[in-house]
Amino acid sequence: MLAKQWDVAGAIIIQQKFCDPHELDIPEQRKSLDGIGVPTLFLELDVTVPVGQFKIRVEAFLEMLAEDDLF
Amino acid sequence: MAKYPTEILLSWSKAKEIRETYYKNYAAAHDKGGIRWVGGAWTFDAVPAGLGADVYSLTSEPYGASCAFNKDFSTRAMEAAETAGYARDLCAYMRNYWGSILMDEYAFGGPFPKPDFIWQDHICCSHAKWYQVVSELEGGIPMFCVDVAVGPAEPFGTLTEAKIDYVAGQILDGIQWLEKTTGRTYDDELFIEACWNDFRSTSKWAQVCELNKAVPAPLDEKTMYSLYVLATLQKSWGVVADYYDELYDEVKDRVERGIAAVPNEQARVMSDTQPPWSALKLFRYLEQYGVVSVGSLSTFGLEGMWDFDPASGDLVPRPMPSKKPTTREEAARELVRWHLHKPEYQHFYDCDYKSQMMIAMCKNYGLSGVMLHYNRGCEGLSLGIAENRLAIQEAGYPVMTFEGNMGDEREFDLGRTMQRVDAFMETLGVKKVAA
Repeated sequence: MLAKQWDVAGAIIIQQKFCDPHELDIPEQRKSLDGIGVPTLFLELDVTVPVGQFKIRVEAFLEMLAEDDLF
Repeated sequence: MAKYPTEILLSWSKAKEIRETYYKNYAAAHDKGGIRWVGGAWTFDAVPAGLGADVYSLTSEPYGASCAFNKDFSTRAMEAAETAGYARDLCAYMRNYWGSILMDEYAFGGPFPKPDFIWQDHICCSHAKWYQVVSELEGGIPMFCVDVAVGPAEPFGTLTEAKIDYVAGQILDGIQWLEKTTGRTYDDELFIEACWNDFRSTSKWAQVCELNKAVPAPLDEKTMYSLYVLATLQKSWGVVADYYDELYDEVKDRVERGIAAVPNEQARVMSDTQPPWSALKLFRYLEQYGVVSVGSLSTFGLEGMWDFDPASGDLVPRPMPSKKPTTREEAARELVRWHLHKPEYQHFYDCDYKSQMMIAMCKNYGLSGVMLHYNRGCEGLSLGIAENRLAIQEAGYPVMTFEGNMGDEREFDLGRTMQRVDAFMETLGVKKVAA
């Protein structure tokens, strides 16, 4: 509902590893978002956060959403 | 020549038959108009029994363990769950179970039998959501959950009347829900009988375990896994309660005659958490050293009911309630009071409670050391296990740890674990015995 109300182009799902209740919801959330045509990026973190890797993935996700021409 | 005489457990095959019958009953429930329901092994299974004699359950964790025992089936189930987007660090039993649904395969043959309703309790983070996923995967199944998190029971805390009211009240609401969901009229007599069988099963299993104080131990833990599982299937079933009575008599006889589970017993250990179900041969490996694992707090207290006295360090089987309940309300309250005393509930509130009970077991069962399974497959029972290790060591008992997973054999290395056992045996000064 929030995704529709705010007319989002994409959703980033951030998962704290080893939190079972949260992890259990992820597949259903992704299915719901796919169902309304909202692409998702899934990022998993633990006690440490791989900031560098996350930056690259988020940049790639944003490029995908903007459908920037590379050439 | 063996140090002690040994014999096979005569009632072993009966335990196997009971288990097989249980799983067949669930699958065939609808054939004669019966009802199927699902829930965790700690759910109050006495309650749905009030719906009639043709009501059959499938409890989740033993089913997950049964899947794990069949490596091929389990690997396919795990992969099906992972493909569906469920993370690999989630409870392994859950992933085996969901994988079964996704593959539409029952571990005992045929398609996965869809339940009519879910009757569950929230014993841990995973259980609180497990059946929500089951309901979604099966296209929507009515579900009722009882919250049991009221704090520790005596001696660590107090189960006040308000706490009992809170949980028993949910059960009474649940009974009304069951009537509405199934269209059946609830039978209080069946419920009371089921509660009484629950008390019988769990009290008697504890008494069976206590017999392992004897030297030589009449039972080894690998054997005990096939015996305690019956209470995880349906402790409120008269067949299970009767079986434990029979088992107790047989094991007591073994103690009186000095019959050993491990004929060359020269040292005793205990384990902790669920074992790696795909590699129970680890326990047979211990026998090469004449070492018997006499049990664990989980084997004893996952279903067995015990009383613990911190002052004396005694962990003793909890006596049955003095009289049978006579009304629905009495039965619900007694059932709650009984269940919440379970030893394996207490560490969810403070790992020190479990350390105290484990140290008591070390003393009372004449243990040389402890083997802790750092079980990645169950966050609940592994909670605080590193602290338990430190406390047991501080109490003067050697401890070995091994990493593994009760339900996902991809995360257990038998060879490496056996090497750790070899090193542990050197620590204990125990050498392999002649074959």
